[in-house]
Formats: sequence, structure tokens, C-alpha cells
Amino acid sequence: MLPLTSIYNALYLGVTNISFWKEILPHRMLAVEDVTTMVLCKPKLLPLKSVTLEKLEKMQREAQETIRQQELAQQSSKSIE
Amino acid sequence: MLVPVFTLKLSHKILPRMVALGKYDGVHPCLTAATQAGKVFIHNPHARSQRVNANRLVLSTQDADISLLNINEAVSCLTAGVLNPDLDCDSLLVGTRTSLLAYDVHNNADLFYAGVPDGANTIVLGTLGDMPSPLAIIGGNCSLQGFNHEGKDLFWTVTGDNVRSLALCDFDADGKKELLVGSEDFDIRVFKEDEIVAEMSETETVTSLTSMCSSHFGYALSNGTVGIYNRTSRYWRIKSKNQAMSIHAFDINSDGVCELITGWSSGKIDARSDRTGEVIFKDNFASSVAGIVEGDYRMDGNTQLICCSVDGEVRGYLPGSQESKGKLLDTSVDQDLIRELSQKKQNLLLELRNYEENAKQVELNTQVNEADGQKGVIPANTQLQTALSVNLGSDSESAHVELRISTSNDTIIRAVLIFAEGIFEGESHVIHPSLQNLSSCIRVPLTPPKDVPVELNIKAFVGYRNSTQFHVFELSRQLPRFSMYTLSSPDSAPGPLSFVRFTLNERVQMIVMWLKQSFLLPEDLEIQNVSFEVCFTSLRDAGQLWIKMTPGGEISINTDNVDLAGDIVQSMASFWAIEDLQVEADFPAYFEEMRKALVVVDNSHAVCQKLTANMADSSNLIRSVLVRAEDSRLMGDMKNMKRRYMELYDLNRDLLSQYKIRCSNHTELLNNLKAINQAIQRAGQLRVGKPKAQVIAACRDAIKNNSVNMLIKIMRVGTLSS
Amino acid sequence: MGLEMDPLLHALSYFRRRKFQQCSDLCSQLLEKEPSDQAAWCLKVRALTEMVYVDEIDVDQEGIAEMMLDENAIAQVARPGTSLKVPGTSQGGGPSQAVRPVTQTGRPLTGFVRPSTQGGRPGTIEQAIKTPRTAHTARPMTSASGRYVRLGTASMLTNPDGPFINVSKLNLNSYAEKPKLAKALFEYIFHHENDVKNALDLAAYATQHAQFKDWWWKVQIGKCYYRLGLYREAETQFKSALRQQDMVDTILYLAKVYSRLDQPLTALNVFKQGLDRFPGEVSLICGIARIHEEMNNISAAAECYKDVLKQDNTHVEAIACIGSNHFYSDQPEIALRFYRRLLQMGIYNCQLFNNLGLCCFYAQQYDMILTSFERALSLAESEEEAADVWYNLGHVAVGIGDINLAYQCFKLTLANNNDHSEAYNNLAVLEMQKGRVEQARVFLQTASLIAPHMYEPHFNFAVLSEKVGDLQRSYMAAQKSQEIFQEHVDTQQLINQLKQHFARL
Repeated sequence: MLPLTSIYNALYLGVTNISFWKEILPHRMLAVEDVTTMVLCKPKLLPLKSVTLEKLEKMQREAQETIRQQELAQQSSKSIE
Repeated sequence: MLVPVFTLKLSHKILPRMVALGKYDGVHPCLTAATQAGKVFIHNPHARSQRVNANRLVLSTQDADISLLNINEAVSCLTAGVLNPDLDCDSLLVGTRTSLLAYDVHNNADLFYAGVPDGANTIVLGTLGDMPSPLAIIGGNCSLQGFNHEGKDLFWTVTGDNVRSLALCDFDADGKKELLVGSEDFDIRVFKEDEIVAEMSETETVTSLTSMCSSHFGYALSNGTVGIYNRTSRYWRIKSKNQAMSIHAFDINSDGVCELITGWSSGKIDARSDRTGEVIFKDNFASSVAGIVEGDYRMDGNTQLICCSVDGEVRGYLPGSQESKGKLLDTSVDQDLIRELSQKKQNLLLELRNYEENAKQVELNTQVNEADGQKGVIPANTQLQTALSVNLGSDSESAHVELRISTSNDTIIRAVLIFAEGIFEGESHVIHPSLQNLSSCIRVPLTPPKDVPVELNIKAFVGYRNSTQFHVFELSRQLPRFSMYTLSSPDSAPGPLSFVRFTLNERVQMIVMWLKQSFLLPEDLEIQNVSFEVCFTSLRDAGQLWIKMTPGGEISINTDNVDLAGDIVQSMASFWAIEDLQVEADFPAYFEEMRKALVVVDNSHAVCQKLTANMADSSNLIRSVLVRAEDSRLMGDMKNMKRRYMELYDLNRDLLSQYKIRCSNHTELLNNLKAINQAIQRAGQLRVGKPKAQVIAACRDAIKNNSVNMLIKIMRVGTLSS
Repeated sequence: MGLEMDPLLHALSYFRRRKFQQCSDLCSQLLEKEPSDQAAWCLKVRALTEMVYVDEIDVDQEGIAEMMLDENAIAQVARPGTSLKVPGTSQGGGPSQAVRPVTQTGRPLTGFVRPSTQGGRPGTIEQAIKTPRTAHTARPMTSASGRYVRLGTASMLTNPDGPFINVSKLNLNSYAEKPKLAKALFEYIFHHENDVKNALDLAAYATQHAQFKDWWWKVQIGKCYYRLGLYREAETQFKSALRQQDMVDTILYLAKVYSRLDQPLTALNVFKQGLDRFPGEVSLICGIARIHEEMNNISAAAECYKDVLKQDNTHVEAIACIGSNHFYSDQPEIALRFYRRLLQMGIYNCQLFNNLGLCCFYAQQYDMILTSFERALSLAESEEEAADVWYNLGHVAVGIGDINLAYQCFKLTLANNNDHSEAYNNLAVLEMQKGRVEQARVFLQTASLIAPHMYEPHFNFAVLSEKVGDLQRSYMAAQKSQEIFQEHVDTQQLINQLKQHFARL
């Protein structure tokens, strides 16, 4: 509530700058609600692979393939006997 | 009594003689020491505030102060200091049996890692002579190497035997530091860069050296002797039945002169004065002392003396203040001193009384006979005579040098005490013949083990047969350097094939003088010819030594023993003050041995490489099996786990046997390397002055280039060209 | 009469065109006709080697055994910022864990992956073995038994009837005298047969024959020592080779040795000295960047990668890393530009399109998102990659607001990869929103079991338990979350709240 005298001053004297008006601003936010929300995991940028790594993985895969085929061949020849 | 200003109990054992203090971040000193299992620990009590306690557990502050470094090999020496002048912090230098690591602790980075085949028994860090940058100098098996901060070896030289201790000291007060080297052949040598300027012989392996103020330095031997030298002369020494583990120079009573602080294997620490060796301060530890360093550990501006024991106990002492100068010990010690002095006074009074008695008697009688012997009087003109000669020995005793002590009249010698370094065990020899065998002449057999000049101090008790008081005669006699060689005739045996030949502009008389001084010649030997030839036989091993001189001034020495040839050359050079001498030498049998040794070294290197690779492979295999075994255990698969652990056991046994093979290979390699280094040293001994240094450097280059022929040529001729 | 090429020339032509299998077959035919034909033998050896050749500089697998049982590093606990084992937390000034996902090691996800970018030091062997190891994150037992053993079977595969060369029967010394044959043979034994000991023997003989003047042999011996784990000997060999002949490769090997000895600052020194002699050399600058990255110094690494790009603006690794840095620093448009450049250079794989899709979404280029993700899915070579793409699609759906779509995407992720912890976590959040607390709790527990290095499942579990009223579990979970990510404000607030609750009791 502003004092009547000051309003009188302002209007009557035509003071434009309201330096005698103290600004009361809240230090914190007006209404705070601390809701702990759950956190999502972040989007994942997939790292690119180096040439070496790709070659190694390819060789590994091929080796496993060949072995598997050899095993299959062995098994089928065994089952035939 | 000085009370320690701080005491720490560290939970790690400390290996003796491997303690240092380094400012790894340039500001805070940290105690560094080698501990078990090939690790080095650094104790840093200054970082407590800086450390972030990431774990929930609160570690005990003692443990948190200690960080361990893995060296993975048994540490043989350790030091810290400024190696790279551009870095403003200290580096840690760790030497092991095969390598030297220079490590910057603060940045966790190597400065260099160098392989050292000769091993690193001891290390010292500092500037040597004129060399611009600080060097890390390590002493190994017969060799010395100096590395700068990039790992380049700027300095290399050989010495007589395995090096056990090093110190940098301004020996001749010229403002530049010389290197003191203590080795297993009981010698202390002083190197000015790579030339030897002085050599002192001691009686046992020199285990520690430390430089004190001006040109003094302290030394410790492995038989418990500790003492101080001033240049080449010894000020004082004391002997104890405990070993001196560590010595250090520190001014503990603030009188401006450093005292010698010694840490003993019994746990005692004492400080002895520089001049007289009297104990100024002592303290006791519960276990053997490991090392002594000095530094401002509490960061309060005062340097403390820090002593560590092998159990991990560390104590720091502040030097006593100026007012308490000299009063560091209890007052009871003052009383001991008074008692000692009064005892001395009594002894001197007694002696004086005896002399007065003797003088009185002589005044009364002019002739003295045996009856007066009872009163302890002997003729005033009695003299004690000594004579040295060579005794070829007989079936019952080996050849030796004989010292004959006799009186000039009929007085008898009751007992003789001879003090000499290096000849007798325990440095002294006492002879007291039984009452029936008393005579005026005593023969003492001497067998000096090495060819060095020895001074004999003889004290004889002279009197009459039934005297109760004896007069003590003291005299000294020099034993010539080559006294274990007897003159023989040229035809008795064929001359040796190996020789050393050089030219000198000296007259025959000078040579004869030198011969007379260095050998034990019969009195009547006269050599007049311009060209002559003398032959000697060694009493130790019957080896031949021929010395010839031609009219042109060419001297040749024929002997199969390289050491002997070197000793003779050095003796001649010092007799005539020759500064540089180049010789020509040929020792065919010895050079053959050298060749074989080099071949063995090459083979050993190749085998070593193979063995190392095998061991690495095995250890990789062991690691993978171990991980698999752990895996089985965690899964609860007991059958597989047992199987894998059995496999592990077998692999482990294999690895151990491989390791044993590698060990024996390594010892063989070391022995051969040592032989090679000694050979280089002997080749150096054959020359004097600049040619000597040249030969050593040239030999080293030849070995680096792996060229056997070049090496032998250098040893023979002295230089590469010609 | 046929205009046929001379068979050896034919084989050479195959070799130049990288058709190694045909080259090898042709050479075998030649060798059958004439067993002592050195040229054909040499060519066959080289062809077989090239089939399995991998650049040794990049290969650097540290197995479990090496990590736990070796004490190669001098300092057991070095000052933070001087060691690769102790990543200085948030030293680099990059985005925190709240924004950028981290890997098992505690370091943020990088833009580029090589065979060696797996750090992290579990405390004991138990932890190391128990750490969930899927096919992607599996750490081999030892470096020797890892990929190398699997590769060693290459010889069995290329020649099922038996190896072409039986190394144990060779007289290595005689081969060492012929330098050209020796070099080809060495590479064969080292890469194809993976027999490091014999390779080392051959190299040792060869060096002796060359009187220690051939830098190439020294480097090969160094490589053998590195494989055997004798790092100090390897260091001596590399240094000696450098003294003889300055080569960039040798510098790279030497730096690798220092990295293994856990001395990153020494390695950086080596690189800098190399740059003095080879100014502007891309591989050296790249090496510096990698070391900064391993020490968690993201800003310095980014600077170095920029230098790399100044020299060589097609360098894939630099572009990828800078791109991912920009993305996670809230600059997706710039990241988009970088990834577009990669596309321009012809890289055409699943990861790139996935990244493009994400960047488009966050940079609001809504027309390109779905097509990119479609391409990514079609290019996915394994199920794990497809799972990751579905996961990112789920994020896009969450951003749009289409919860059902998000739910389906995350479920598809799990269908492709049962161990995708992030998907479990996000599914839990969605379930919570729908109100199905039990489901959410199950998902969160699964997620925290699979990925103990992520803080999100723990934090979410804490929030959920607190809502439900299970304060004890909430507190424990919040503690775990705080251990992983200390600066998370929400976790701290939650803990304070709980402490107040407990104080009132």
C-alpha cells in the first residue's frame, strides 16, 4: 500500500521518475514446486568404426562362418555314415 | 641430548643405502626409499590438503601419504636431484642390475630408460668437473658411466674392481668437483673427469663415501671402520664391531663445520667431529639404520637431519642452537672426559719417574751389566737395527721376505709389535718368543699380497733376560714395492714371451737407483754396463720378470703377468715424474683370452634374447590360464578350476627352470664383461697420462663397434692409427 | 595359340588388383610345377599376408590379464591428469554426464572407435570377469588370446589341407641371409601365423646379418617385443631405429609403447618432437588428439582434431569426433554439417545415417529425419546396430510427443538387443507416466544390473521408490547415483529431502 502523501507528491508535483518507490521483487521464484521427474537416457550418437576395426570384425565373422560350415559338413558326413 | 622434532612410523620396510629426499614438484621435499618386491615408495605428507577424498572410506592418513612405484626389478641404488636444469623439479633416478630409469614423478613421465649391462651398484648425481650439464653417474662392475638428462652417456671410464660407492667432492679445492670412487679392491680413487689424480689404499671394501666441507671427505669400510680424509691423508678413523650402514655430513651443533653422522647396523646414530673424531651426539633406533638424508621436511625454513631405519621408522632432528655449542651430550660425558684426562696424567707421571730413575743410574755407573738389567736399565748407546732380505724358503715354509730385527749389543728383544696395512690380518703382528728362545735377533716373515709400497712401524721391547721393565724402541721401515721378487740368473728359465717396450731418456744410473729402491737387491750388486739385463723370479708364483735396457734408452719389460707390467710402468713413471708415456705391448696369451671372452659375451647376448622371449611367452600363457581359472571358480565349476590350476602349476615350474637358466647365463655374461673391463683397465695401466685416457676411450669404441681385432690392436699399440 | 599372360605376371596383376585368393591359387599352381621358384613363392607369401594384414599401430587390445596382473605402469597411483588409468573427472570442460552418455569406462562416448578405445580399470579380477560382457564390450582374456588367436585360424582357413609354410621346419638363419625373402617371410609369420617367437628369431638373425644397420628390422623386433609384453625392450628398439632413420611409423609405435606404460605425457612429448621433424603430419596430430581424449581432456582433443582438419580435411576420425562434440554441446546444426561432409566423402553405413537422423531432428530439419533412419535400418549389419537405431527413433518419438510410437520403438530395441540398458531405462520412464509402477521398477532393476556405470537407472529407481514410499531403497539408489555422477543437482536435492525425512523419524 503506497502512502497517500507519496501518491499526492507524484500526481501533484508531476514527478515522472519514481525514485522513491521501492521495488520489492521476490528473491526467489514466486511459486516453486520441486517435482523430481525421472530422467531419460540420452540419444546415442553411434561412433564410426575405423578401417582396422572393420577389417578385424569382418575377418572374425568370416572365420566363424567358415568354421561353422566346416562343422556342418563334418556333421552331415557323420550322419550319412 | 637432541630430541627428534618429528617421528614417523611408515608401514613399509626400507632397504639399506637406498634412501633419498627429492622435491618432485619443485617445492615439497618427499622421502623416497626402496622397499621390498622391487618397489619404491614416496612419502608425501604435504599433499593432504590437496587430496580429494573420492571414496567413502576414510583411509588412514599415513597410508594415503605413501605412493608406490613399480620398478619390477630389485632396486640396487636410488637418488633424487636435478637432472634436467630446464625442469624446475627433481627427478628420481633408480638403478637396477640391468638398467637405469630417470623418472619425473610429478608428471608420471620417463626422462629416459637406459640399459646398463655392467649393472648399477651405486649412483651419484651432480656436475663433474667442466661438464656443463648435471650427470647421473653410476658405478657398476669395473666401470663408471655418466648420463645426462636425455639418456646419452657422456662419460665412461674403467676402474680396478666393482664400484661400491661414489661421491662428488672438490678434492683439490679448484672449484670443480672430482669423483671419488670406492671399490671392492679396497682402493679409493679420485677421478678428475676420466683421469685418476689420486689413489688411496684402504684395508677393506669401501662401502660409503661422502663429501664434507672443503676438501675433506668421509669414508666407511665393510669391517666397521669410519674415518675422514683430507685430500690424500687420513685425519682419523675409528673401528667398531658393527657395520656403518650410512654416512652423511651435517652440521648438527651449528658451529659452521659439518660433522660426520654415521648410522650403524646396530641402530645407533652418532655424530663425530670433523677434526678429532670425538662423539658429539648419539641416539638409538630399534633396528638397523637404513639411510640418512637432510632436508626441510616440515617446511618451516630449517633443515632437519632425517634418519630412517629398516623397519620404516623415520626421525628428524634439528641442529642444536648456537648457545648449546658443544653441550649436546649429557653432563655425565663431561665427567668421563675428566676421568680420562686424569688417567693420562698419571701414566705420564709414571713414565717420567722411570726416566729419572734410568738417568740416575747412568750417572752412577758407566758400565752397565746384566745385573742392572733388573732395574730396567740398558746401555745408552743401544741401537735397534733392521734388515730386509728375501728368503727363498724351504720345504717347510714358502718363499717370503724376511725382516731381521737385532740390537747392537747383548741386550735381548723381549717382544716386537709391527703395524702395517695390508700385510697382516688385523693390521698388526706381535712376536714374543718364549723365555728360552730370547735373543738379540728376531726374524719375521712377511708376505705382502699386493705390489704396493708398505710402511712398517716397528716397536720393540728391549732389555735384559731377567728384566721386568723394558725400553720401547720405535722405528719405521719402508718395504719396497716389488719385494716379493728375487734376483735370478737369465739362464735358469726361458724368458717370457710377453713384453712391454718403451723409450726413456734416462741414464743407466737412474735406472739402477730405481731398481735399488723398488726391489730387494743384495748389497753387493753393481751394474755398470750401459746396456744391461736383470732377471727376477716372483716368490708368489715363480713367474719370470726380465728388465732390459739398450744404449738407445729403450727399456723393455718381459713378463707374462699384465698387472705386474702395469705396476712397474706406473712405478717408473712416478719415480721419474713422467707425465705421458706411450708404450708398445704384446701379451699373446692374455689377448687370446680376451678374444674368447668377447665371443662368449656375444653368444650370451643372443641366448639372453631368446630366453627373454621364451619367458615372456610363458608368462602370457600363465596370465590367460589364471584368468580362466578365476572364471571357473566364480562360476562354481570346480572340476575345470582344478584342472586349470594344475596346468598353472606346471607352467609355473617351467617358468622357474627357465628363469634359473637365464640367471646362470646372466652371471656368465657379467663375469666375462668384468674380465673385459679389467682388461681395458690393465691396458690403461701400461701407459701414463694422455695416452692412458686415449687407450681407454679407444677400447670402449672398439667394444661398441664389436670389433675384436681393433680392440687387440689398440691394446698392443695404444692408438688406432699406425 | 593364345595371347596369355605369363602366369607370374598374371598373378602379379591379381595381386595389384587386390584379388588375393586368385593370386594365391595361381602361385600354388606355379609352385607345383616348379617348387623352387623363388618369385612365385615370395608372391604367394605376400598375397596370403595381405589377406589378413591389419595395421599394427591401430591394434592395441588390452586383455583382462594385462590390466590386472601386469605392473607395467611405474606409478601405481599417478597424479590425476598424468595417467590414462585415472581419468580426470570433468577436466576437459566438456558436457557432463547429464548431457553426454558415458561408456563403461567412465569416459564420454566418443565419435570414433578403434580397436583399442576401451579403457577402464575394474578393481579386481573378479570384477573384471563379472562385468557384463556382451559381444560388443567383451574384453578378451589376454591380448594374445584375443583377436589374435581367432585370427591365427586364418591360416587354417586359407589352406584347409595344412599350412603353406611349416614354420617350425624352416631354417630361419638361412632365410635371414636373403633380405628380400626374409622380409616377406617375417610379415607372413607375424601376421598370418601369429607366431611371435619364431618371427622374433627370424628378425634377430636378420638384424645381425644386416649388422644392426637396417632400421626396418629394428622396428619389427620392437613390434614382436610389444606383442610379447616386453615394453622396455620394445622401447629401446624403437628408439634405436629412430636414431638411424626418422620415420613417422616408428614414432607412432614408440608412442604406443609409452601409452601402454601409462605415461601419456611422455607419449605426448614423443609426438611433439616428431612434429618438429615432420611438421603438420596428420597421424602425429591425430595421436596427440587421441591421448587427450583418453585423459578426458575433451577441449584439448577438439583443438587437435581441428588442426588435423586444417591439414587434411577428409580425415574421417577428426570429422566424426568434432561432430559428436558439437552435437553434445547443443550445436546440432554444426554437427549436421560435419556429418554431411562425411556423407560427401562416400561413407555409407548405418552409423552415419543414424547420426544424420539425430542431428536433423535436433536441428529441426524435419524432412530428412525419417528417410535417414530408414537408410540406417536398411544398412544395419548386425542386430546391435539395428537396436541402436530403434533406440534413437524412440527418442525422436518422445520429442514429437507420440508416446505410443516411442513405446513401440523401445520395445523393438529390446527385441533386437536384449541387453540394451538405455532402452530399459526409457521404457521404465514411459511406464511410470502410464502409472504402471511395477513394470517400471522391473525395467529399472534390469537396466541397473546390465549397466552399473549409468546413473540414470539408479536415479530413476530412487525417484520411483520415493514416490511409492520405500524410502530406504530410494536412499540407497540415490547414493549409487551420486557415486557415479556427483554433480547431478537433482540427486543431491533428493538425498537432502530423504535425509530430512529420516531426521524426523
